[in-house]
Amino acid sequence: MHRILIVEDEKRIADRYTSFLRDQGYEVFTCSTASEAYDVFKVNPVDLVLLDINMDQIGGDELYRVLHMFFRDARVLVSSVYCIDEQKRRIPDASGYFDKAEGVRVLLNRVREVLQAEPSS
Amino acid sequence: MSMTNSIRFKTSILYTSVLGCILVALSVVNFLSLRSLLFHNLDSALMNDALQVQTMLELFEELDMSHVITFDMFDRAFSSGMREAYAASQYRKIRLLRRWWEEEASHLRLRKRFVSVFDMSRNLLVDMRLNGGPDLEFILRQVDFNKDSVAFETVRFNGEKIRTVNYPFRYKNRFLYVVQLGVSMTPAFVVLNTFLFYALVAVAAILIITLFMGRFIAARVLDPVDQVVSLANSISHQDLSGRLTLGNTDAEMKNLVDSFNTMLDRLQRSFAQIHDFSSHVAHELKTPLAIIKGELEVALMSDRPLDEYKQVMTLCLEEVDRQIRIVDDLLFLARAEYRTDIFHFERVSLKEFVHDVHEQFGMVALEKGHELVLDDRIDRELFVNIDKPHLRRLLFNLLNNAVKYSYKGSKIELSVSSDKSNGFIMVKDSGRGIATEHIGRIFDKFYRVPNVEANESFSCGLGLSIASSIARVHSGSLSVESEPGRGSVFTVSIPLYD
Repeated sequence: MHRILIVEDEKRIADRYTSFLRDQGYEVFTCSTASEAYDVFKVNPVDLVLLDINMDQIGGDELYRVLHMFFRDARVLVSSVYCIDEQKRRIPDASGYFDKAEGVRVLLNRVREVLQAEPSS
Repeated sequence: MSMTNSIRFKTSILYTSVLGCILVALSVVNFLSLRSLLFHNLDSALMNDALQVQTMLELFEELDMSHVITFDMFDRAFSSGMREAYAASQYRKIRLLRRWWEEEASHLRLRKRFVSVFDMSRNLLVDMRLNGGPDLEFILRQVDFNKDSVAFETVRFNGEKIRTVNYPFRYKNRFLYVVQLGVSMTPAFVVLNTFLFYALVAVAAILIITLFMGRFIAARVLDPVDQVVSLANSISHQDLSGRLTLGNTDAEMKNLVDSFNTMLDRLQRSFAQIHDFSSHVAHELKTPLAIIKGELEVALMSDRPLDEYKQVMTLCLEEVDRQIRIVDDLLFLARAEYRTDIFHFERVSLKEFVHDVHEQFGMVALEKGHELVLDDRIDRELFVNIDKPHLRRLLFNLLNNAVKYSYKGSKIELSVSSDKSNGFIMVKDSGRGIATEHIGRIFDKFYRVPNVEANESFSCGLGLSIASSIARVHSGSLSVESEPGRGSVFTVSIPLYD
């Protein structure tokens, strides 16, 4: 069973994605800040991080840089209301990108795609 | 860029013409002073000659004294015989004078001069033309014969100007002769014309050289302008980070480049602000939509009990409301900045107004477990020119924040004060306060102090921007002082109105 870490400060979105992905058979953890997420990530190996960009204090892009530095093969699916182009500009080499307005079906597809792909290095 | 419209061209033309005017004026002054010097010299030379002739005549008169006296006595006598004798003696005298003159004149240096001596009846006694001058008779006929005074005159003869002097000769208080001397002015004119010619040639040459050198110098001086232009062209709106750099350059060009760079700084800042703002707007408006979409999609995936549908719909409605609020706030901000005609100002007693606000918000505060205390002890009646509903909105906003960010049961203070020209309304809470690093940004649009536990969950970060823009519309200001852990004081300042 794949383990997914959702980093999201908008509580309603976090709740919705958590219950949806759990229904799809994933094991899901949730964090509302970047620092909390980093602590969780260090001790719990996860297969995928669903990462919001716009968060208080430390943004998702900064967290991504840190994760990438210490865990080069961590798979990160960027999830934001920014359009994909903007997401790619902010985090250029993530495993995948998801625009929250695309809905949960698209989310599921992206999650599957990223998990099926070979680890990047 | 046409050639005549360039600074280069204008500068060289300008200073060439200034230099030209100076040179022409200088030449004119030189010419005039030279001319007056020459003419003055001519006159004094003539006068000098006249004095020499006078000296000579005096000598002659002294030699011939007895005759003159004798004949004059006879002249005053009556007989015609005597007249004849007088005439004879006059004739003799003239002959003597001429002979004497011819002997003496060669000793005088009267070159190129015409000399004639008349008696008082205008009979020509002696005339001399030296070195083959023009027809003397003709010249002298033009000269005024004046027995009484020395007079200078310029006459024209054969296209030549002759300067003459009329010099009455007096001996022992009697006028005996009139001496007239003339000299050609041609040599003086030759000098003047030569001067004029060389002055014109020199001025023209200097101006032509200046024009070329000026163009060259202007081109050198303006060279950095071309550099600035090409640098400026290389900066596009997509990348405003470029700045102009010029090496060693003059102060003026440095000023230009500096102000250009400062302008770019400002542009870059406001572009960044606009970019930030629109990205915020998109983010804030899209988040409720993302939530609604997720909820609806999941709800429709399978059949669910009615309660669950209701729950989803309630949630969606809240998100729609949230979005409407954001749009309304944004619209209000835009209108407060560009359409101030939505405000309707009236003269209001500050004390009464704050009193009303206290009454209206007191209940709300009580419901949420706070006491709202009013301090309106001001010694005089103060009036302000305000739009009541909007200023009320501002104060409600501040009061709401005070409720949101202070501990339950704590006191919130609303007070009024004033100085000479401004009225102040203060909202003071003893809540969490605002950390120094955030205090400068709390009035920015969409700025939310991170990780603050509010008593109410949702805030879109526009409230204080709106409050601040309402204060600005009232020609006032909104300021804040805060100490983390001790609370904050927000002060609205509004100019007093008589």
